[in-house]
Amino acid sequence: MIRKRFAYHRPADVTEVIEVLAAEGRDACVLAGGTLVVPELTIGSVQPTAVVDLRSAGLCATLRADDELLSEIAVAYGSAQVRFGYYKLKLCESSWPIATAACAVTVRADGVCTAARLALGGVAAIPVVVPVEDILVGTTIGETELTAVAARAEAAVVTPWSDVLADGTYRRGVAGVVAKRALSRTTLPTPP
Amino acid sequence: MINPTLVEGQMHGAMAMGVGAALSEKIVYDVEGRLLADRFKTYLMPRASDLPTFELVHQVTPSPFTVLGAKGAGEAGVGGAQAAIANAVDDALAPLGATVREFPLNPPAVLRLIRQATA
Repeated sequence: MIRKRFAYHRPADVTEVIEVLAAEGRDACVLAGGTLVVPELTIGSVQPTAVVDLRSAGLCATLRADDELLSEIAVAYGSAQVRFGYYKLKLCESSWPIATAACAVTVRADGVCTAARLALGGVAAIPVVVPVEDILVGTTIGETELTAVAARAEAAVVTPWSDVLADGTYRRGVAGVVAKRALSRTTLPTPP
Repeated sequence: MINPTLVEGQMHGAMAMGVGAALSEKIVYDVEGRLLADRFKTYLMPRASDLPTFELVHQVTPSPFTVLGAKGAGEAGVGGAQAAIANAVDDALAPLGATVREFPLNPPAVLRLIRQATA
């Protein structure tokens, strides 16, 4: 049961959604599917003054016509020289991710890195982009660079996220290792 | 054993409960007494992939107090599994001078023990 009363809005389109959100301010809560928001309303962990239901605004509707079927999603190949690495740390199989890292590095034929990007997820309220180009570009990525990136990643987590699974000290404490593991995956031999 | 399948099923479940209590299960409340670990993404029970393969060995001792010597078999493996994990973590951390004193021994708790011991 939801104990706290709130205004319930069913805007007809995106323009109206924006108007309602602007009028209600930060205390409004957006309901898209309800998987997370409805249980949160029930236990009272969020207590909005207004709920804006997107389902009437056509935002969750499909563009698929009756005689159409989604048969494939095609993603353009990046450059063959771009290598990707991703790593996710969880406390156990059922846990939400605690810290994640994703990176893309461009490596020339002679093994020298010419571009690099790395971002952390789960460690702060929003993803943290870690500046790594000055460490990696011009090098053949090895242990020295991996260690430097780990230190840079940990330092980049200025306001770490805390929740029921792990506090901010832990998340910042593992950010460097998680970044290093993601980056080291780009240095693995490419499968044939 | 009258029904080994049921007895072993009880033991498997019990050891999983012990592993969960030792490594991840924790009831967390906020300062206002609201339950924060309120779903299986936050109250972490072990899944099959978190657990090793179990191999059971039975010591069968008939009861002197019942007509057929029979007795019940329940979740007797909980305590043993918990203690085994606590001892294993304690043994692993002993070279650092850390001592295990509480459950669950989840990654944040173990890293805290390591940091405290090596500070």
